[in-house]
Amino acid sequence: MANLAQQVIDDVEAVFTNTDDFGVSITYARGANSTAAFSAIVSSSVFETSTEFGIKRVETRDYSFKPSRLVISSTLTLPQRGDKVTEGSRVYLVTEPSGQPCYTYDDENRAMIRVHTVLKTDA
Amino acid sequence: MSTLTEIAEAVKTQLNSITWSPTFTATRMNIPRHSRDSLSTLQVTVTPRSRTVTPVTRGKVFENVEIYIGIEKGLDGDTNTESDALIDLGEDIARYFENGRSLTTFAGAPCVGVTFGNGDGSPWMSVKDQNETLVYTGVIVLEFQALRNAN
Repeated sequence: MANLAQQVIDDVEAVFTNTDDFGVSITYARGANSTAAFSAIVSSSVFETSTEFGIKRVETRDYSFKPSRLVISSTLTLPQRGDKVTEGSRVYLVTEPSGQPCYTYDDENRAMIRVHTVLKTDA
Repeated sequence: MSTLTEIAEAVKTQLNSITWSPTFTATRMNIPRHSRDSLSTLQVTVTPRSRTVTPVTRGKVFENVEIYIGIEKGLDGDTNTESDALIDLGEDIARYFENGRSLTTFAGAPCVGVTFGNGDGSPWMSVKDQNETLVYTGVIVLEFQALRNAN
């Protein structure tokens, strides 16, 4: 029988991974191939980088979802730089906006994967 | 209008009078500012950098003006294919201004120096921009020189 801590974790995880109720619909693409639409939980921010030459404003958006959703051309895969996430009319590019890998896991059990993107086009 | 602004404007006008590959419409911005999503379109920005006056004789001075031309474009990935074309463009622009090119709308101040990236804040290709946001950034520095009467 699970101890109290494990029961709490089990109860919370159901909420934590509930992308269907708390997420947005996206499709994930690599080259010409893409996943079916699925739900992902979103967090976003905007930052500016400045150099001697000028300033760039970048909208970043992180998508969290179950790793099992990432099936492209019948193959389970992991995010790669240059992949694209489409959310409505917006296209986001998978990259490493803060110098970190392009994806991380949200939890130690790897139940949720978090993909880092920047806004590429806003049609 | 200041000499810096006049020359930057003249550079912008001259760039826009030529058909480059890839094509673009240059803009003059004193502080270049772009959002990542606006860089889906190639942006070429002309920015005044510095003005230096050096005595030549008792009555004459050299007035040197430096201008930045920034080439910025969002990329889809890390392959060389996309950035090769942008590096080619930067070199084409640099070659155009070599050999004392004069500005049509600002005569008397030939271009006496062209640098396509010098590793001192004016990169031919910014590693940081490409790594973090998949943006190509290349900068050309032009130096124009006019002989003027001293004040």
